[in-house]
Amino acid sequence: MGKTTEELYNASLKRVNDAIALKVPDRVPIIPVIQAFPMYNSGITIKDAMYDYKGKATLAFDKFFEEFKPDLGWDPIFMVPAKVLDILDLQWFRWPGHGVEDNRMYQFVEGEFMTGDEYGEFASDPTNFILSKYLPRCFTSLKGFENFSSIRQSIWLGWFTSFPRSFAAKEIMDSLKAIMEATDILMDWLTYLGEYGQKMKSKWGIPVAYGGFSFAPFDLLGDTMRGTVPIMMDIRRRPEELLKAVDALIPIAIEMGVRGAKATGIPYIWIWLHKGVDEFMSDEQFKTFYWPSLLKVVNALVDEGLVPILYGEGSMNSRLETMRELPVGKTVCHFENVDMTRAKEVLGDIACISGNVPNALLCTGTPQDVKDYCKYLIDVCGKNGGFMLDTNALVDEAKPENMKAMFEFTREYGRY
Amino acid sequence: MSLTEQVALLDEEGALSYIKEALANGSDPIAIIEEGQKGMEIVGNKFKNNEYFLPELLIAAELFSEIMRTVEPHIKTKSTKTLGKLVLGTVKGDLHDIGKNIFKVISEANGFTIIDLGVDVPPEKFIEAVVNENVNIVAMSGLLTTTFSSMKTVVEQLEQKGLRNNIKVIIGGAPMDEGVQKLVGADAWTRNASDGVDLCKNLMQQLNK
Repeated sequence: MGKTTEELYNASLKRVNDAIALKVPDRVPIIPVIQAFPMYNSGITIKDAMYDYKGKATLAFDKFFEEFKPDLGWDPIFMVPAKVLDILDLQWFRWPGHGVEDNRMYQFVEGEFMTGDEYGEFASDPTNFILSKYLPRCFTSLKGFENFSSIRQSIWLGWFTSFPRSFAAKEIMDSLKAIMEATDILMDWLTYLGEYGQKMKSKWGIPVAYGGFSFAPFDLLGDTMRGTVPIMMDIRRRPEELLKAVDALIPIAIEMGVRGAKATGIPYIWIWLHKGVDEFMSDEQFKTFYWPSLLKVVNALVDEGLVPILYGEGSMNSRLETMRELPVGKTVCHFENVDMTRAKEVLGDIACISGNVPNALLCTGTPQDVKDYCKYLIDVCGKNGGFMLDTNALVDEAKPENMKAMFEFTREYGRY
Repeated sequence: MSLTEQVALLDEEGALSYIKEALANGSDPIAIIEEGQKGMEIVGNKFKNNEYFLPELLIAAELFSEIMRTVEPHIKTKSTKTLGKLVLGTVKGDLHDIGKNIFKVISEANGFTIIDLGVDVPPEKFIEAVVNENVNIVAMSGLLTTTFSSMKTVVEQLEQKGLRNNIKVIIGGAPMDEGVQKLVGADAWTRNASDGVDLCKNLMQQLNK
């Protein structure tokens, strides 16, 4: 049709923003969250992409965007620079060459990086805990940071001894070297991602999907601090302390989102939801420990003019009614294993719904199976707008013909 | 309150002091464990009926482990009563285990014997367990789509070694569905631990025919 990339870019953004505002766009936006698929699609290993983002990852993602034109696109952000993980010796990931095969995605592993006795300490001074306990436990190269527990004593004459206490030990020099080395790479990588995003806009007319990331305060505490098993038991054993710690994390979760958006200029803040799923906690536990703090984060981000995208992982069928408390027409709710008909019925007048083409279907099904599923979603969830087509989880393996079918069918059948 | 009720209501203190007293009074340790197991069965049912959720399940599992640790040294002869023997693991390429562990708690509560191989389990380890441990069901867990090929390899190796006909295979995890079951060659699939245990009961009935 001879549209310029600028026109394509603006059309995609309008399409997406109309859907978010619960209006009817020109067609259903296609916004699958793409993770390892470009590598599998181009024969480049995940290990190569993680160790050579400028070369290998670029090749893989360029090929992807030549073939596929989503309305919100994912740059190589999920191909985190493995060198940084090596230098810092991160404990809660395993990555190619470090516990995972060369061509598999890096994975999160459980660990208890905050003990049950440390709730009071954390809630009363989160920064001190994060700096002098959490960071050295998660990144063993940062062991020297244990010395930083004295820094807050630096007021008035305190600094005469707190500075030596914090900076004298040899191990602090080693840790500072490690973090500076890692930071150099991270700065290079972030610059690269910014440039890649510009290329997505100018070469293919595709907007970058994310401005920043955040998390539910309960997940911040449960994912990489307490660990899943300990925090779920804390719900019964330490409810008051747990609530205090969750509340202390609200401003941090807000900051994460706001800072990200300021740096990128993109308002979409993806909030990856983990532990509020159906089987993990009762309705009452969800409404006490998980939801209120998450809602506060969402509302604060909306007040800043940002768009929270609540990326529900797992099944959240029992949470839909509670989610009606979300501010109207300001958020996106992505679902994985949820009854999408019910999601539209319960939340359709509150939030833009997204999801949920099953990744397994993209792996094992036929193009017709994929089209049938997209048709169901478009018919039911796409009715009257307020819907964006996404996969149910981040896309790694998928048959290319099924991905093509998903894109092409939705582009045609999804017209309003 | 009986031990069964104490376990069902997650009364950790009550259960452990009850056991210490019972053992001191010469009660039969196997009977004590069976009372505890009945409590775990109630916990499993409450989980199925959405009265109990993961917090309660984990506390019950910890309590039951503590009960076993306290009582087992007093047992002179081992009981071999079991609903069926399962070898369980998260397959090669995947390190996630929360779902697998939930399934383990509920299946043990229901009387299954579980051999837990952990995570990132290569196919050979599943086969080894089938050959050496007289296993009835191979239960494979996975959260990632990358696991489908690992699971398929396990089933293929079972077939190659002539073991497939005496074994049932179930796959569990968030991405599982009928399509994956067909691809892998499994007998059942589940996304839900409670349903998975019910499916295993059916699979045992099929084996015992």
